[in-house]
Amino acid sequence: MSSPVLCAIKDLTVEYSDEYGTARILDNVSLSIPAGEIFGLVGQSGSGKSTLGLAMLGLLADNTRVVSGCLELDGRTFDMSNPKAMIPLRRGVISMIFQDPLSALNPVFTIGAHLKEVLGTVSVSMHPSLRQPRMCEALDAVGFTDPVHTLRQYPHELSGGMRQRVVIAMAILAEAKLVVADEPTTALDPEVEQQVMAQLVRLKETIGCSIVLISHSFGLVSRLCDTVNVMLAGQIIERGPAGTLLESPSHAYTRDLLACEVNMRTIRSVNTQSYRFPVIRKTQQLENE
Amino acid sequence: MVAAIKVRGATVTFGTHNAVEDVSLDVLEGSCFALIGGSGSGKTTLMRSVLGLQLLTGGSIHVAGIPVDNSTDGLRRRARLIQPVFQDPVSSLSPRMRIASLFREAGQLAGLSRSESLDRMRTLFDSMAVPQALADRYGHQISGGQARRIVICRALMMTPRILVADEPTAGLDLSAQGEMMNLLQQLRQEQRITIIIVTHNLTVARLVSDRTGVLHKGRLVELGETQNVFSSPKNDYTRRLINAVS
Repeated sequence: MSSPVLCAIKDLTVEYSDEYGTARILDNVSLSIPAGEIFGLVGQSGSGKSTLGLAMLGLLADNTRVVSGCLELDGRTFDMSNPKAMIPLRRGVISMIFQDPLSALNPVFTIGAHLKEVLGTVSVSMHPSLRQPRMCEALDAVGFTDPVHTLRQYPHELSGGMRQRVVIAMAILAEAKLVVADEPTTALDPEVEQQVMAQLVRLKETIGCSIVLISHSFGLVSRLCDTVNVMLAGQIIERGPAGTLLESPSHAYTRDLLACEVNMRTIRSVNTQSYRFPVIRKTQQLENE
Repeated sequence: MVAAIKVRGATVTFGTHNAVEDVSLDVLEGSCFALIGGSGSGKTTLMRSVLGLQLLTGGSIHVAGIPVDNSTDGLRRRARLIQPVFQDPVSSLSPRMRIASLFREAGQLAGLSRSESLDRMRTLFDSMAVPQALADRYGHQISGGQARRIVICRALMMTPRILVADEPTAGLDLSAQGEMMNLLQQLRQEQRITIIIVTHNLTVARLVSDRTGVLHKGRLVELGETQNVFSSPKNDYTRRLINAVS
């Protein structure tokens, strides 16, 4: 039996304008995110994955405009073309884990100040004396061994992986219903990537949220996600359970994308210089656009 | 094969912290060497030292027999032998200059006249499949894929024998990663250029390199043939790193 739908997006169209003209980044995208699931979005750079994630929080840049689209969550409908209407969603309902852990935290605030701000938004009635233990509990849940010390530290004193874990702790405190993780491990080394992804899975189990995992790696997405959506040129061109999509993709582009995936099982040539990586060929015209 | 790069007891200290500690290794001419390790392991610092951008506090580095120090003469001689390809192609192209001007500047350093520089640029653009029309554009007006080709072309203006690519695949989607690595592979195969890749992408390192060095907390904890490093790692840290992606 499939899980009930937590969040649905209907007919989302987004356009970007600059001095050269206007381009459609998302073209009539509709999707349903089931409750308690990890929902994968894969595709190449420029396919619209990150724009979709940012549009869900109403965080699009000034030169980007939502032409149409609405978001349904918890029985409420939000007009995505009205940035002000999306503000309540950012107050603890939807959390975001950004790609770059360096710029995700404010450099002039301590980790404690970041966490306190979240609590101040979502647990307004919480007694101040209860805040510190609650913050320490959240840091402890994401693997910090000395949470009291961490609360006093500034973002620049932490490594990239630690900073991503602080952002996960913020989502724990917010008890977010939905967490959008946009390539959360791109800037991290393999060992730390593994730790952060494990924390993300634990986050889902701890607060029962759904997670939208945006990635360009089929390998990562297929290991963690229940449903995978493939994006190309602003549209979702294929979707299905991770296993099915990986075993028998029906769209030619999904097959191309899968073919690009090299991993530790890819056969290594004895003559390494003759090895060529599989790539998706674009026309020269597209490349120059 | 002779050593294109010889590193002996290299140490770089920041304050009281050893970012690189007593590292010794050789990179053979015409080969591909991968330097892998976690964030903060000292990979980039070591490679900056090889390029002469970070002076050693101990030990020595020789590039094709020329010692890496801060003498102007040494710098000029090494610039023709070794060139970097930085992580972010767009930000390594000056936003104030058109592409052609950037190439003229590089040509001047290589001792070429204005017209010789442009001729060499056009030849390089052809060999790397860069449309000639892009020469009149600024860095921000070209796509990421083309910018990657252009920074490689610019490095090749000096006809170097060694290219150092720092995290050449970071932040790229899989197809763009493949495209970038295929360009480096093409240079290796057609021009016998020695390639050093500094990366935490173990999959790429395993497929393209002949020898691999593993850095951990500034120390070289493993060094050997790539095949052996990946199939039977001797060091605990290397094993953990490989297991994380297997």
